[in-house]
Amino acid sequence: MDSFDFEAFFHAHYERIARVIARVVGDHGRAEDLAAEALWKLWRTPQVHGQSAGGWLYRTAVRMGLNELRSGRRRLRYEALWDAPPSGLTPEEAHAAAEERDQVRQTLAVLRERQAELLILRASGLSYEELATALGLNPASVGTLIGRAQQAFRKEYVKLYGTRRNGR
Amino acid sequence: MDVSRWVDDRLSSLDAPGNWRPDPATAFGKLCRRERVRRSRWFLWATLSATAVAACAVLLLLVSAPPACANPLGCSQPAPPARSASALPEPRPSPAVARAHRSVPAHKPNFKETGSPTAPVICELYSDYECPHCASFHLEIVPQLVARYIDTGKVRLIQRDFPLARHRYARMAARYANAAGEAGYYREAVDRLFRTQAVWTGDGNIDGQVAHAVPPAAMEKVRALVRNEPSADDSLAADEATARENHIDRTPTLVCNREVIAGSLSLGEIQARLDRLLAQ
Repeated sequence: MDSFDFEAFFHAHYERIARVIARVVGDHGRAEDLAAEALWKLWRTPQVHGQSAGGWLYRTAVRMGLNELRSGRRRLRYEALWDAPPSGLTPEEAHAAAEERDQVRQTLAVLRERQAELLILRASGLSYEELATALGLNPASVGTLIGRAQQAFRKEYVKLYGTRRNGR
Repeated sequence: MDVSRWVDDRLSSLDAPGNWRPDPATAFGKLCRRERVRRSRWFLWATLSATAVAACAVLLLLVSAPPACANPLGCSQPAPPARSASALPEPRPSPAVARAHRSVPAHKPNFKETGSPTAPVICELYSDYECPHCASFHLEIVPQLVARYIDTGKVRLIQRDFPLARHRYARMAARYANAAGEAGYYREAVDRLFRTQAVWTGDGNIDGQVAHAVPPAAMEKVRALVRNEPSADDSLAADEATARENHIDRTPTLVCNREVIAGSLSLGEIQARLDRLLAQ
């Protein structure tokens, strides 16, 4: 048995992992379940306990989120459950915002997995170094890879939805 | 256009609302509860599986332990593992012969054996008088084997009694047949018992059926042997011991030169096996 303190690790990372997954799946409840599942997978994988645990966890979490997004059981059903629109938005603006979230997720779903992972984790606040660790990349090439992922994202988005931004 | 900014702008729309705070304590408790349930289910499943396996093993033992009749209608049993040419000991002379060598004059014929003592193939036929398939085998197959292999000196046939525990009258029928053999009417008694099997297995009157095949004077001797002779079942007991030694578990079973030939085989298949043994 290793000395990995699962409960402490769980408390330290759970909220951030849940937010990463929620960004992809769009449903808080489902994101919380998947975050717990990702942490449980970590606990059941002793070979990644230690220095590499954090990177492994973020990579697993974002992949679980993307799989959920692509699986068809996902989001639109829950989109209405997303938090009520900010009070400053009109109903039309709130609807446009929800539509844009859906379009962004659809675009992420059709990107190459590595590019989608890079964009999601970068948008979740991970540094270049953390990204390199989580995705097993050369830290020197992270910037280049992010640039390519952004280009690919824009290309796919425009292909799917054009350049007009909904309601804004 | 600044693509980086354009993409960041859109991805920022996915930011979760600031008032949502996932609670690790609640999630951890939920996870622990789920694991407890999963483990208890696994334990329950493992316990049930182990119980089921044990029950199946006991059932198999109960079902396979008693010897079975090969007749699928009368005494159906699960088929045993295929054992075509198991290593059985060399066929031994009938216990009746052994007993004859010990206690009766040597010239007395051995009523349980048929065929030439020098036949290259020795077959032992394990039968139960109450087994319908044994009756069919005796009445339909054996006469053809006698004509083709036994009367021609190729095969010597030894009858072995193997009454199944489930058959109420089989042991007594074997006692009558052996007593009739001692009186010189073994074949007649055996034929009668197999031909009228449906009658005496219904009314239990074995004596009445054997009396039809054996002359009155000899029948008195048969009755005396059946009722009073302590050694009347010696032949039967010896046959059963031989059957256990050879792992016989159903009737009829034919063992020819150590090769088990299921009694449920057709005449053609049995003949093919015998021809192969004769060719060796």
